[in-house]
Amino acid sequence: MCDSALSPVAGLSYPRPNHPNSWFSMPGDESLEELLAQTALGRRAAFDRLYERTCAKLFGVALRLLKDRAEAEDALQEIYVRIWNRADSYAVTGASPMSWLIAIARNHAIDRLRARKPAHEGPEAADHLPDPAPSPEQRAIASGESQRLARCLGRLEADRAQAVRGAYLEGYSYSELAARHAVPLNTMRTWLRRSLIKLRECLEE
Amino acid sequence: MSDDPRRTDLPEDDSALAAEYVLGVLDAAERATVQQRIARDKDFARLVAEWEQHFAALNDGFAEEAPPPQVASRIGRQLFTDDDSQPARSPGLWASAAFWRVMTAAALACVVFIAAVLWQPTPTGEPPGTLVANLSSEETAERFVVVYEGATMRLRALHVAGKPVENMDFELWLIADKADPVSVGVIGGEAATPLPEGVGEPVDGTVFAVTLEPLGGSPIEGPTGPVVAEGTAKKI
Repeated sequence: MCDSALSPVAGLSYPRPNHPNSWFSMPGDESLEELLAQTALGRRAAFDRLYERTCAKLFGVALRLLKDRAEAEDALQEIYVRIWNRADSYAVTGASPMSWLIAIARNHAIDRLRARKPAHEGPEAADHLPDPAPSPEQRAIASGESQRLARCLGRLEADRAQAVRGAYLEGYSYSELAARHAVPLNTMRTWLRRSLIKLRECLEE
Repeated sequence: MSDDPRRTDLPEDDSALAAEYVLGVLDAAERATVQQRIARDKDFARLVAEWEQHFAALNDGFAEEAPPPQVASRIGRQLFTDDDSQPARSPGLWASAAFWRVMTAAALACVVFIAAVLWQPTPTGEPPGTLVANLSSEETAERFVVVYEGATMRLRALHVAGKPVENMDFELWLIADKADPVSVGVIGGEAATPLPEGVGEPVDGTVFAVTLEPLGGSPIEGPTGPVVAEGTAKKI
């Protein structure tokens, strides 16, 4: 849970505070789907609660990828502005609400990473990057979907599976991956693309 | 991208490109190209969504961390107040001022809709003629929200839970006071649409239902497929 003081002025958080109706009254245990649907309709109270329920996860995503607190805070602000503006495009993707929100957060954080000056991305800088911690995501193998992905990643060579995880969780670019694995950029591209095609074949089995 | 001889137009290359985008390994220029493609190529956008779902299994690897409280206030200020920090006075005002300032080109369509349909400035004393129906069924996971704005006679249906069905469409029906269902149209577009000709205006208590139909909607005058959700319009 996060503090949510999204409404700068008390009392303005409910656009229609007095309407008598039932379906829009919110008991507090609504599903994230419901909060997103209400947000799409411009309900600030729902957006507020969506923030409360999801901001720690999305901040965790921004922080892990950007590795810079101040920038992660700026990113989080923009991420929620996007969520507010795009809530109504959530509906038909078929994704779980949390995956959809995390995809927005990751995309934004990665766009920021790629917009950084190339000095951050040289092989030297990459040498000093911490290794992607293998433990948290491996510990988290619980649902069927993650078992399937873990099984399919397990069929790849270990360093390629590690490159996939590193890219997803740490935001490594092709050039950073090439530097970390000490291979030329084009070799890394070919490797990873082949691995991704294999991964898809396995996931579709 | 063009220096890699493996990049061709084969379908698996599209899938790999979508995966590279989702993983985030592409550089800024490549990402921009892919983002443009997602916006105009629905099939490609679907590949991206599929990969997002596959890799979502790794999301548990992101540890939670509470952001400092000032982030929430900054979001509130950016979205809900004017430049001079005056609080918004009415939905119409925040639709027209603060909201317009922050919107991006990509969000244009949805914001135009919301501003036009939901936040019409309302004359004092007169409640807005807005109806909302929450459509669901105990037998399916599908949920839809229908919003009808009387002032503009435009209607919008959102598919808020469940999944699209391949090679089928969801069709929305209006059932006025026990009359036969009248088709409002196939659900899918982003925009609010004017009420089709021949469809009576919904009122408080009008029933909406969604059926599963062949692509493009029922081939006959009435529904042919099963009802996947229904609900009653309420004035808000």
